[in-house]
Amino acid sequence: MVQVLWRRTTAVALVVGLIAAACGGSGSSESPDGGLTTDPVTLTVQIFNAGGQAELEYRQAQAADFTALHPNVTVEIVQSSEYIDALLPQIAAGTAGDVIWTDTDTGFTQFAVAGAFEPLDSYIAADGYDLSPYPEALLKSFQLDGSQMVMPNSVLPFNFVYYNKDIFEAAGVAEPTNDWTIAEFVDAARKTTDKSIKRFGLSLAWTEQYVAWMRMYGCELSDDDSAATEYTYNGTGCADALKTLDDLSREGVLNWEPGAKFGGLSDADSAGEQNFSAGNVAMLISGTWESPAIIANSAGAFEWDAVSVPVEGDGKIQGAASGFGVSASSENKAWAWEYVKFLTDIEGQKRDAIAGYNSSPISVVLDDVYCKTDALPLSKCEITKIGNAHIALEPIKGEWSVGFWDVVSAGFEEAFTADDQYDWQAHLDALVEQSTAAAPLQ
Amino acid sequence: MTTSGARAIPMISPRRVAIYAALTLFSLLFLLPFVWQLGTSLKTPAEIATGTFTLFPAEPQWENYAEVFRRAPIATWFFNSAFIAMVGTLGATLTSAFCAYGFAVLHARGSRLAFGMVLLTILVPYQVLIIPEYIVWAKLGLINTPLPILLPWFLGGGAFNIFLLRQFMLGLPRDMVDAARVDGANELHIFVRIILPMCAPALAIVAVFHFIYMWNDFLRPLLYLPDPSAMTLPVGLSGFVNKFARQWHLLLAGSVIALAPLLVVFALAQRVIARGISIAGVRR
Amino acid sequence: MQRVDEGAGRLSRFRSLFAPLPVLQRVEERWFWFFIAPFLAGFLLFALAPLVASFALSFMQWNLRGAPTLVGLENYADLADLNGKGKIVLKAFSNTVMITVIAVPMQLVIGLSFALLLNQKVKGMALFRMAFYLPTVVAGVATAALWRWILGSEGLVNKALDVVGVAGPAWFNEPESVRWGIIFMLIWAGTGGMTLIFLAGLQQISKDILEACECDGAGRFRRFFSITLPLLSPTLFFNLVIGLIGGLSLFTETYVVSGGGGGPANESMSVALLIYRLLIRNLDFGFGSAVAWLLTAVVLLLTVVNFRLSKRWVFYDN
Repeated sequence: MVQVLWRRTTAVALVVGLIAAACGGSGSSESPDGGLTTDPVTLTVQIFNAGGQAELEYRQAQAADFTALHPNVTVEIVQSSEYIDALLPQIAAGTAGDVIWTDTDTGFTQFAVAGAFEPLDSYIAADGYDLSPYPEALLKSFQLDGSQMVMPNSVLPFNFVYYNKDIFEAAGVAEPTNDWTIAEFVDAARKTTDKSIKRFGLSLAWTEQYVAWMRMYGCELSDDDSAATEYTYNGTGCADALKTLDDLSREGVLNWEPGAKFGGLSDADSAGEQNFSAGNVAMLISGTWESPAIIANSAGAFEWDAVSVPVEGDGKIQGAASGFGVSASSENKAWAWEYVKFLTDIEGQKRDAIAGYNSSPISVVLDDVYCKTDALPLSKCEITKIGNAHIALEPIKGEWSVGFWDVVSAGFEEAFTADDQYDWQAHLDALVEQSTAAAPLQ
Repeated sequence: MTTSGARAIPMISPRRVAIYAALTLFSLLFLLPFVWQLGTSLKTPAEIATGTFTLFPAEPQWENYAEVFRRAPIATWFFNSAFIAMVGTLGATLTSAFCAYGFAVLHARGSRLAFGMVLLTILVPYQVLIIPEYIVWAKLGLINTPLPILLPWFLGGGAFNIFLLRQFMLGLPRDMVDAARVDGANELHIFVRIILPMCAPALAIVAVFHFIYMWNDFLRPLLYLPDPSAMTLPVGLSGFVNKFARQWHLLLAGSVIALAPLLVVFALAQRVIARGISIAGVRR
Repeated sequence: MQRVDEGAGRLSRFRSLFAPLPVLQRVEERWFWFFIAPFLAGFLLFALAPLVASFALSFMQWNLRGAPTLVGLENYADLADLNGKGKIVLKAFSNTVMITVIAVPMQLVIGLSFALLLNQKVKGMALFRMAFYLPTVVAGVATAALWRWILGSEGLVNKALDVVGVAGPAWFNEPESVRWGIIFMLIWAGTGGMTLIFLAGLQQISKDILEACECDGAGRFRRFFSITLPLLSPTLFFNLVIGLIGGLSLFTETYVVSGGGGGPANESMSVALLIYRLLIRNLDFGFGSAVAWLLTAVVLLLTVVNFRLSKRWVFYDN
């Protein structure tokens, strides 16, 4: 009996202690101006394993440069794949390091909601840091409840349409230009498809392609992407967009599996870029990062080039954005902020751009690096500028993922794999109702 | 190679032929994933992309393996994985046998409750336990050491292993145990001298399963060994395929390299499994 | 392992827990706790806190920020709300149960058959055994690609079906067939482990017993059912329990196949995958923990039933 009681008390104490300890990490923020100590400091910077060993070494070299400027600060780079899985436990335990990379679809929403980031407003104000080089929309997409959480370093619009020149020529279709229309684009896709030789007109290489497609037609996902209160993905342009996509799918123009993860291509089946590089797809919608892979994988087998996705009327270009923030559990917030500035200010962005590790949102950087040098012949300055000018990021709100993606992915997959085509307007109306019921945005 | 319980079969007989045929057929089927890995690791990225149906490419790109070594510190990952898997397996095999003896052979009040606790650890879905576990280790200051990964295997050895060995021990004839007790041997002696040797095939199986499990474990090393120099193979290899760079040929080459030790371990364990147990002298 | 007469009522059995024991039993008991000590230490140090914390969280609401707020039975009420949050929970359970009920018996039967096959005195047995266990060993990051190759729309299986003139489904990309694809994966990958365990169990069976019965004139089938199977029953029991627990805790295959999404149309959503998504994607720790403990209750119930029933058919050599 006594044993049981003792165990129960211990258990309760353990739980309370565990949770209290976990929350104890998010303590009070330091005062921004008193903080730059000259004592030895070690900063831990968390990055996502996107560029593999090469990126790790680049970031380590970058860290060494910072130490050269500030000899008392050592910077350690930690690289994780399965980024959200790796970081959430650390955030919960208050051991997430000092600087955290994130991106709008690799954890920003989860991390922000979980309180991983230290609000930067007081630091920005104290330094008088000039935010004018950064596009307003981009800064807003990294705010939570009006507080700046992350400084943007790269913006990734999904606006590159890579196309296979040889296929266009063989099909007798005029090559696209940056100011082509949606109608021309869809038409080109249809004309370059040849089912007899398993050649597809179009491949969508990214999992959120539903959303990108809808944006292209001017469909608005919410009433205000940085402070959404209503789901509006059944509005103007939305049903048209999806009906066209559905038509293309049923006609066999698209190189995809309608039921595969968000209607795109699941990670394992990379026939998106790889099938394009193998010469079986006329056009590929992706982003600037795809170029090195295409060069490597196509190995000169055919002529190719890229243009921007068509932009007309209210059309926008879907994208993601990445940046660095200061960890709320950091013990060296002032220095962490210095490092964030080092990474994301104009000089930092230029460096990353030259090395090929970002697609900068700052127009000065674009002009200086992308548009002038041969260092990045594949980045296509003009296309990038169009993308940055029309970019729309995912609505930032904790409930958005639950209300939108959970409902839409199942709902769209069902529609795309159904034997008969759905009435898209009615279907979208029904899905918006489901979203509102599942996760109201007030 | 004596397999107890096996029947001697005349050299050539329809039965023998049938057995061989069945074994060969199924073996080929089961070898398929491995052959696929090997074959695809030798293809060029373009060949992989088109998803051509050949198992092996016309021109095997042995280069891929060299490139894997060039692009990543595979050797470091390999040694890290080896260390963790060997130490962990040693601990798990011995400790779980130790505990299983208690559950299988010894009677006590509360043994059922205790065994229930053993099972509880595999009944609760681990997804809800990851973050609280991490917090425990973080508060102990043991992140970035191999201890969170190794220590649990020395304290209990894993519920699966305990359960498996308990079942085995329950199936052993009790005569020898009773005889030894009558002779005055204490339980520790019985465990080490009598039960453990009889359990050899089961111990080998536990060791093999556990080694493979630890070798392929992704989540724990991801969380507890984030330092680049401490990384294990699965975590390291996952860097080859991600959002921005899908280098399947390298990933598969790396996976084949990662697979090789498992085959060795399995081959070694085979001998023990095949030997069976000799219980000469004890008749029912 | 009660020494007490099974026919005694529960109350008297409970009381007997506190009755003084004869010396030999006490000595044996002390030995028991000595041998169990490592497990208990590990449990108390590392396993207990997370278990208790997750159970407590199921009565709270928490998204990692700040302290959890107590909400009593609200999460459990949400589980029952089949038009709201409970809908996906029901779907996840129905998927998981369906897959388990089909895959596990097949693994057992196939596993046992293979073990019998491998238990013959045939040359090259070691190689065959390695081949049978290999699928289990091919794990990790490459698994997704492998299964695309086998069960993709133009995968191995569909190509084979083409030869016979049957049009294969799109397996993982069609709502109707994704669960069958997962069952296929489980049988292919899971049978190896069971085979090995059955094999070890078979080899434990004394040659002497089998030879004795052969002299008595019993036929092969009779021998199998009357002698081998009962002596194999502890092993069979183990594989059954572990198989069921593993089936109901299904995660990796569903994650790999759907890219973590549980699709298409939520058809590959297993309970464990749902829990993962609730925790990691939605940061809904309260509800996620409630679902986890619901699953625990179900599996616990099933396991207890198994253990009770085992008294009827599992034959321990005591």
